[in-house]
Amino acid sequence: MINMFSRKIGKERLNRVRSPLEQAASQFKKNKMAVIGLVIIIVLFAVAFFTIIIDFVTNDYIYNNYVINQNLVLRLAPPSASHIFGCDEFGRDLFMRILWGTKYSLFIGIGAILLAMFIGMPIGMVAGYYGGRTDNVIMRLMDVILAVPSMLLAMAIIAALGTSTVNLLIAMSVANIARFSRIARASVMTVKDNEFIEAARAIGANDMEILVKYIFPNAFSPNLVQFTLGIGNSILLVAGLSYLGLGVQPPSPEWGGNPYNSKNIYEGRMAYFSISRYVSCYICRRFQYAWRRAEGCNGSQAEKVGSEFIV
Amino acid sequence: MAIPVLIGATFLVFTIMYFAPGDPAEIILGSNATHEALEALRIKLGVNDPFIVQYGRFFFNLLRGDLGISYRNSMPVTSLIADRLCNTVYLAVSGILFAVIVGIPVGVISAIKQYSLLDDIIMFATLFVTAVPTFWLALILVIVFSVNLGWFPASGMGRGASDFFVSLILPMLTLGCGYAALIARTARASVLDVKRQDYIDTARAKGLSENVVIWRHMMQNALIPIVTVIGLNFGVLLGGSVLTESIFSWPGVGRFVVESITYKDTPAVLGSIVVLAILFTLVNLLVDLIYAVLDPRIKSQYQSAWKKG
Amino acid sequence: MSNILDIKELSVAYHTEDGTVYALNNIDLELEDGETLGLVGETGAGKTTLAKSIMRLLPVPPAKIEYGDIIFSGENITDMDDEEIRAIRGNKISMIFQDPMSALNPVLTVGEQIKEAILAHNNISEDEAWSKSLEMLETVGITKNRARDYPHQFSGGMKQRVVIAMALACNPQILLADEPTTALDVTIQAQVLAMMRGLKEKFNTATILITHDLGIVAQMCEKVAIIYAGEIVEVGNVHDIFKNTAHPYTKGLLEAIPSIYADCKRLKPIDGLMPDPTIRHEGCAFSERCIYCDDICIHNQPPAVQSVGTDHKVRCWKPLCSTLS
Repeated sequence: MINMFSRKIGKERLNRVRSPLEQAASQFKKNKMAVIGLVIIIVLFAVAFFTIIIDFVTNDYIYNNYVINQNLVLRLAPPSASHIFGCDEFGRDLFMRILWGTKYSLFIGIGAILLAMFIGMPIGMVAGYYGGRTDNVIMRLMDVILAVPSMLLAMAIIAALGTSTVNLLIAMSVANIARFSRIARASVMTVKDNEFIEAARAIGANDMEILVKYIFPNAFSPNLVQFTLGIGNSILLVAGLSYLGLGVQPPSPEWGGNPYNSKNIYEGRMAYFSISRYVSCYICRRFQYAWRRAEGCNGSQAEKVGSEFIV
Repeated sequence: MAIPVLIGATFLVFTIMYFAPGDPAEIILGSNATHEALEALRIKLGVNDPFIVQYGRFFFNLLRGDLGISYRNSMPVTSLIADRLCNTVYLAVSGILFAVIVGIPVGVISAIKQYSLLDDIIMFATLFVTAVPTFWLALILVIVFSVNLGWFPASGMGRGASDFFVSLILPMLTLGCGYAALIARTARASVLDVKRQDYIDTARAKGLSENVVIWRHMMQNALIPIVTVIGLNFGVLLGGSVLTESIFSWPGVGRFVVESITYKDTPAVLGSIVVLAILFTLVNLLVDLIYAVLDPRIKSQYQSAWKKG
Repeated sequence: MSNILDIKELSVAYHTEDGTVYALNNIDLELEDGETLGLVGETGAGKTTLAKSIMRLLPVPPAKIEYGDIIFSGENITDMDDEEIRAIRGNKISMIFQDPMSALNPVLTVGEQIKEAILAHNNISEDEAWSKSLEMLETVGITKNRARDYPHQFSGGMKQRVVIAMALACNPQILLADEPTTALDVTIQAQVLAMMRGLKEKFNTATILITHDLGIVAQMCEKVAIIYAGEIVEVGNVHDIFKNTAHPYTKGLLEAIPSIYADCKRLKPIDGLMPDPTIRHEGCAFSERCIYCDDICIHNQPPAVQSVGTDHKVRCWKPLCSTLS
């Protein structure tokens, strides 16, 4: 009889424990769509940065001469060797306009969401943490904001403040502020009754420290999800508003604005400029879904959170 | 519950529009009017009064159904909106109907045939469609169906029953597609979630046919989150109708808002947004009610809250 | 007494993207009419898979009955088509699941759910079915006027009673009870078990009681089967299993129960974990953890041999109690 006690039992194959980032990265890589999405987003960012740098270095030379320069001879020219996507009704090269338009959509979209997050999260965290009347008051305020459909709210703000980029940012963030605060509040409320919060208080941490060091890291992830979602929505919203003439003003080559300029002309060519906007949002969305799955939401949870969209 | 929020919303919108630039008197009378005439009109319109007084006046008028006079054509805003509200409602309702009729079955089929090629295609397609900006979709639809095929009109709302429906198709598709994709995704996720619940196993263990299991046991449970999503996004739909109406020159409130903003017709903008906000809130209430009917757990929550006072 | 259920060499595997899981390997099991058989095993041993295979409730794309036969009342039900098996489910063979909290549909009343089970297999009017469902509720100790209540209005123990009522509504010949009291606290567990005993006497239903609690087995079962890593390693009547334990695993399980009389300082668990189900092992499944393991155990699959007592079989090369010793 062999004494089995000396035999090593247990999983030899036990993998070393991987950090959350590594796990997320490996799950991410498995999802082909996510990788494609990531690639396209990197390309978009590269284009945006590229155009900014070119403008800076050449002192807007290319911008002035190629992007906004009108040349009615070339009006509505079809695609050709020198003008890959053809020209719009003012004779401006569409390809260049699309490239130069990247930065608006990307940065305004992301900017609006960031702004909303920086304002909305603290508000929600305070409401969730202190509870009681503060919570009630703040949440009623947020309810009021959410009672107005967000596109209309944005339009009203632009109507009131005027059509500048800053106002556009403000208009777009207001509705999202309310959303972020809701989500932040909900996640704070799930965390705040945990014992490690009590323990923190017991060692003398004050409210601010508790909020920042303990609650925030634990309550952060649903907000991250909302953040990624919101970006896709924002970009579409910028486009929509620009299409109506309320967003970035011409002659800036913002993607939504392009069709606006030629709203009355139903030419097949229009598809070109819009395609880029469409592709970017599409990619953003794909990427978001994939990222969220990697973060550990299962599919159905991700769907439920992501159940808001903006035209 | 909803009433204070609505009141707050009117206050919010009023406050925002208060800062709108432009002198009403000048807009109405034109810049050639005399100084005295302008001043007289200003006093008559009450724009020199303090903010609170103006809001108060607005609110009381609102309660009586009076939304002020348009700066653009001096007609009562209420009638201008009333003329257009039905059109927006028709469009919105048809959009929702389309979205529900197409979206739910697609989502359910996708869930039942999970892992199949059909499922993958549907998932891809819905993602595709939700990323499409409305105006792009609208333009493509117009190019294909209107300009090239000539089946549907490119703009305007038809008079007479058949013309009306024909002109409704393209806007309805534009508005409804994104919504349908979203509903399909939600339906799929919801059904997948319900599918793995124990009570589905129990139902099968009782020997019920697969059809009964799907329709009686899965669907009613799966509908609950779907209804939530429909309600939550109705506001977005209303906002989207702005774009759709503009593109198709559909005479609804959405397009009216855009026009009024362009013409700096503040009372019209204010009135329209308030009306749409009210509509949105009403729909949310309706969704809450449907929710309570579908889910007995919610119903008893409401009942016990009701009993408490 | 004839066997109402005969399982011969049943093998079930789950084919997934990450590999194939061999859930059941060569299961042989017999159940007599009116008998209560306890099926004991750790989590992951394959108990639920076995029960679901009998009912053909396994999700068929990943799961597959690779081999074997399930004979119910003389008929081979392994290859029956959907319609035929549905006539059996709920009617001749019923199953109750582990977690009463999620086993009932939250949007239908309990009376409705029982009525549904009755109507699925009996050609009677709705009213008759409704009154029958009320009767069943009374049988399990729930007052009739609660029939129109929803599941969330009941406590865990009562929900499990409803589930049992639903399962017994058509007077099945076999009841598969998958850990029916695991999710309940001990006092409720005692009540539900007592009720089940009463029902068993009344309806004379053959039962397979799946559990990991040997105490329940001692209370409720006439026969016991021990399942480990997808195989039945020992089966016999309850007396033999407890007194003439033959398999080292069963012995380990019994010794792991702390005695209320002895003064023990440490618990005696069985060292190690169940083997990886994605790998088909050569020899005995328990060899890794067995203190009596020998070369023959590692390389050769042990056959089922007769042990002490009537109908006491054990699958081991070196049984602790055998007819040979």
